[in-house]
Amino acid sequence: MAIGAGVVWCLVLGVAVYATRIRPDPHEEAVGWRLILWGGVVFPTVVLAALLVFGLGLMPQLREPGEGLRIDVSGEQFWWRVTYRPADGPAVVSANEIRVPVGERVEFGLTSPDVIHAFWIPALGGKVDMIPGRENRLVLKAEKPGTYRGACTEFCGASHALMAFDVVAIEKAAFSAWLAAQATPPSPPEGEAARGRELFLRHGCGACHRVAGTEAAGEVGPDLTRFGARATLGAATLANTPDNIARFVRETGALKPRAKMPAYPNLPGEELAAIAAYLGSLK
Amino acid sequence: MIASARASLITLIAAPTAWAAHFLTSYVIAATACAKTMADARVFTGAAWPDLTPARIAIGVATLAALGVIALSTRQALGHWRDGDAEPPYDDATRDDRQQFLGYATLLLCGLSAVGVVFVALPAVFIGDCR
Amino acid sequence: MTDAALSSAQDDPELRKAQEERLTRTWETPKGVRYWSAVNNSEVGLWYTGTSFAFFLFAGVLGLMIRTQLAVPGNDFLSATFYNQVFTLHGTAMMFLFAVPIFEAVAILILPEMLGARDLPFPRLSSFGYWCFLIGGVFVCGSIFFNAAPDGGWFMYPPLSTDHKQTGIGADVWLLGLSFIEVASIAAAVELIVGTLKCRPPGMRINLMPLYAWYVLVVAAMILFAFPPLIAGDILFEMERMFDWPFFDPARGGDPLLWQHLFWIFGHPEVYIVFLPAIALLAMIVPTFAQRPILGYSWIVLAAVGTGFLSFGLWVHHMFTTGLPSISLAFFSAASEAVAIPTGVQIFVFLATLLAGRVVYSVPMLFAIGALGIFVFGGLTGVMVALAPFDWQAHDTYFVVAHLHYTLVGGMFFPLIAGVYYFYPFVKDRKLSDRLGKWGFWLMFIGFNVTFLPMHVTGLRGMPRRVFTYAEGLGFDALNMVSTVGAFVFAAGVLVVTWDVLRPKGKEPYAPRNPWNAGTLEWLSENPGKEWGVRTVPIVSTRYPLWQQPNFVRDYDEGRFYLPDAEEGQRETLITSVLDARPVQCLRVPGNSFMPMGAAVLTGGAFIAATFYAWTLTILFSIAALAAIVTWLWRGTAVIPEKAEKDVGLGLKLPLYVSGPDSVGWWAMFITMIGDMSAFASLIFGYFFYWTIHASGFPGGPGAGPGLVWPGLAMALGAAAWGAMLAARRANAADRPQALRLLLVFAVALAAASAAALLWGPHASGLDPKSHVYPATVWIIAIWTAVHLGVGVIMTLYCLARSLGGRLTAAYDIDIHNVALFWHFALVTLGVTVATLALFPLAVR
Repeated sequence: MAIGAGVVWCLVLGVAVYATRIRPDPHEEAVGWRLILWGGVVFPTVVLAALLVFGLGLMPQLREPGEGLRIDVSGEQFWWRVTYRPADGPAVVSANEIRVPVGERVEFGLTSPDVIHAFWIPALGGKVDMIPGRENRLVLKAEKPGTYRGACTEFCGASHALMAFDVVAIEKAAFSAWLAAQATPPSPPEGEAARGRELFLRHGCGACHRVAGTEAAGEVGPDLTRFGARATLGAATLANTPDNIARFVRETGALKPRAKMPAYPNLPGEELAAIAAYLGSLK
Repeated sequence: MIASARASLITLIAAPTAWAAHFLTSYVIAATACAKTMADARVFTGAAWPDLTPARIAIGVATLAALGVIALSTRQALGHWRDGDAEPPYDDATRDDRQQFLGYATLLLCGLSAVGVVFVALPAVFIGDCR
Repeated sequence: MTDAALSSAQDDPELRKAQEERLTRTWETPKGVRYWSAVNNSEVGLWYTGTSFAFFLFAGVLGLMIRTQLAVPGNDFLSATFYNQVFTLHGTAMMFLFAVPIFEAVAILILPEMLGARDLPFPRLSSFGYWCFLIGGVFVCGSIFFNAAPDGGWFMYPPLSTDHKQTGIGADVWLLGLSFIEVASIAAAVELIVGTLKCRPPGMRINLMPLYAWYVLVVAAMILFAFPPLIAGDILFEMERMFDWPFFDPARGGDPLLWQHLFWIFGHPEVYIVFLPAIALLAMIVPTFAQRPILGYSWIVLAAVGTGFLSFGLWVHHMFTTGLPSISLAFFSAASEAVAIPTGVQIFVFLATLLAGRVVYSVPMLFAIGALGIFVFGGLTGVMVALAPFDWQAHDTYFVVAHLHYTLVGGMFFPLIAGVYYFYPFVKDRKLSDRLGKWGFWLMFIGFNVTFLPMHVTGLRGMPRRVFTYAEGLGFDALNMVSTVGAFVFAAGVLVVTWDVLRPKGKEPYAPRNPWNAGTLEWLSENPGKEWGVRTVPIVSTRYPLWQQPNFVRDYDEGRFYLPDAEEGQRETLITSVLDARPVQCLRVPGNSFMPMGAAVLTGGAFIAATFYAWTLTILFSIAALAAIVTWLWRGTAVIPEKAEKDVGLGLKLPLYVSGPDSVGWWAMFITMIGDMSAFASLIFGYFFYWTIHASGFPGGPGAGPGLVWPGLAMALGAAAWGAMLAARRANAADRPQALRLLLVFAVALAAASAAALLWGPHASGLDPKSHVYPATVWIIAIWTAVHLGVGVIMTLYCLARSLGGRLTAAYDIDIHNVALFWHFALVTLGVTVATLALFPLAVR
């Protein structure tokens, strides 16, 4: 399509330059009439009809149903709530990172509770909006293992630019094993991480965040059960390092304008470090 | 309108108006059929996509009707175009030139509208359900 | 027409001199403060053009701020929230304050003289529109200096923009400020349609109209169908923001998608509303520089009319990713491909004309070719994004940003600058600099491509639009830096051109008359220009009279055609018939006045007060605005002339006062009501849209709607009011003033009762508009119709007052004809309302 467009552009501009600069003298009117008829009418009509038929033929197959695995993704200001709904087995909740099996057509159910977002993984296919009150679906297939980046493409407020996610495509068997392992909560932390857990719960983080296997069961913010296993934090805003976790907790609004999470600027550094250690340990 | 012996701005836009009516009809038929046949259009159910055959037939009928109107407009425009002995480019300040200019422009619009109607009917050929 | 047939009375040079003095006095532009009371098209058109260009420069600075912020990843030049205001206002100002108004501005400026008319039929309406535009534009743009600009993107999608927690007063500024400007746009459209159809010079049959006038006609008609849906959307939107009516709230049955439909039913035709007038400029420029008539006049008419229609079938291509069924998307995909055909035809007609002509190269041509290069590129990417599967990738990314800038800059901005260089001698008597023009062109052309060409790649690599920052290392960094550098080069080009236009040229010689050797009437103007517009209204028998009619300029200069004089010191122009331009009236157009400005200030006050939810002030301003408009109409319209007929020259006597379908006022009412009906149709569309998405129909049992009784009563009373109005018109024609007045009183009482009954229906059945979208929709339609009945009451009272004041008589009856015409439309509105609200629920039960 791009090459065809380039050829058309060169031809049109070529005629324009020829008629104005190279040979500005009059040509026969008949030449002009032929140009209008063939260049302005016949050629575009035929080419556009062919393109349209091609595009229409493509449309139904791009919306073929998936092969069983369904992942519900809810876009929320400004992060992604992810729920795996395997055909067999219980649902698994996660956030801001999506794992998919390679070579399988996975069906995404896309919703939003607040404003319109859009779900797009450029390397895997087209985007679909997440519209409050509607549920859209999108079917994607990762051909190769790897990590792909996805992003919100519909303007959704102050931190629209900071609403991305990683898609990790792994082999089918590994995926099934991974999904099954999610059913059991991560093992309890030790050392500094254990103190971090205590602080996490004491400061009330559990009111908004859920960590399976603890009393933290909030559903307002992202599920943190396997937080440590993710490569990024803050919806793919920062690399997931202990320093960044501490920074994010201390100055949330500065890193992510108008995020719902309040900043905790008064937490002592060592407490932040402990919390970061705890969250990092959740794998 | 179709019987009018005098070309006017109304006869000029008859064919594109038929295109617009056909476009709107096709869209409304398909959109309503999908919205009303899905138990609740807004919630994913996992069920098969509703079939669109009746809507496609209706769109086919609408297409024939629109092409019929365009054909009538074409016939009328041919009449206007031949009504007089003016030569192109119809740029004299005479009744014949005015009449034949309008007839000719109407013919061109009939052609464009017919292509437009066919383009707009193509989706019903290629897409059979509400996916 | 031979010389001998033309007025030999004009042989006397003394007489001609006296005529010219009288014309000058009559059309003189006032000095000092009173300058701003001018309503003549040359002043208003110039202010309008200058103001919209100023808004362009303002929006351009916002664009540079965007590019500066995005030059490097993680930049903190602007905060996220301020950036969102900046990009929203950039788009809003470019579209609503520059692209559309400049069409109206340029048309007001050049159309009358292109048609050999002294002015448009409603100069005070143009003036009112201009002041509305200025006030609304300053209000919308000024908000950013108070950190209160709209920040939801220029298409303001709910629920982000309806939610008070998400968006502050900026959303109200956007909705009300722009609604105010849209009303002014529609007023200009009415003016331009009537101007094109009724103000052509004698002999200029429809097949001889300058192509520019064809485009104006098509575009103004498009405005009538495109802007009202947005106004309807604005009403729903503001009702949700102000009073919590849940039109876009899914929790109460609303749907954010309705806004997207209404917005884009406006938004896509708007692209062509912006594009076609600019192409119209090229349609004037190309023949001039090819030094021959356009090759394929009828084909341009085909393209203009065809594009006008097809462009209304594209709106959902902005909604390809909303998850609508494929087949729905496919119709719009098909129409989006089809619209490329007439667009292409225009370009090939220009190319063919250039081929067949002896091309004179010049700065306007340079811009025209540059426009072609950029626009064709944008059109080709447009063909790509019209295919839904491709659009699913490109939508809402920098690819689309690049595409839309290619179409708008190539399809609108470059042709506009070509037009500026071309028409500058016509407007300001001197030529612009060729050297600066070439510099400006190359800086802009190179800067533009350096800015926007890389964005195609940036977008396909995955950069979404409307992001205030981006992360390093995703492949966006270098491309964005290049774009930013290009943007500043582009801006330098704009500065060069702006300087060329604004720099003082007092010492330079005047341009020769008709400096480009063009063929159309506006080039009759002399340098320095005369304030009367045209010396005499010419008789036209060709498409390019200056090329094709012998002795045309001499006869014109000697005033040998119509209206060479202003004997009574009144501003006059000719009104002709629609198809064949036979003279039908000598129209006296109103002169300079501060009334339109005053009315605009008061109307603006009402809109601005509403933004701050200051209801008392809003009501006070509305009443004052109404009073101002009524005063203006009372004093300035349907004025009874001192004599019935006037000799307009060449032995032709024309009436000074005509009413009914012959009069321009009747046409203006008719055209306005077409626009009004399309807003109403959009509300009705909303009703059925909600019915469609609620698969099980609207909630509630039989008693849930407004019932049959009250709407039925409203219908009966409204029909009776309409009947009384028609009887009143007949009584007036029969010269029975007492019967007329009695019937008018009846009509007022019946209409008021009808409005009351219509509103009582939903009230009596306890419909709570906050509870669910169904009652809200019922209420909004009922209120819309009741307001129309109310307007009918005011108009009918106005007729009564005119009759009592001796300004409405059997012979002078413009008012009652126009008001009766309004009543026809009001009756249709009422009928559709009752059928929808009362009968439809019964039919689908």
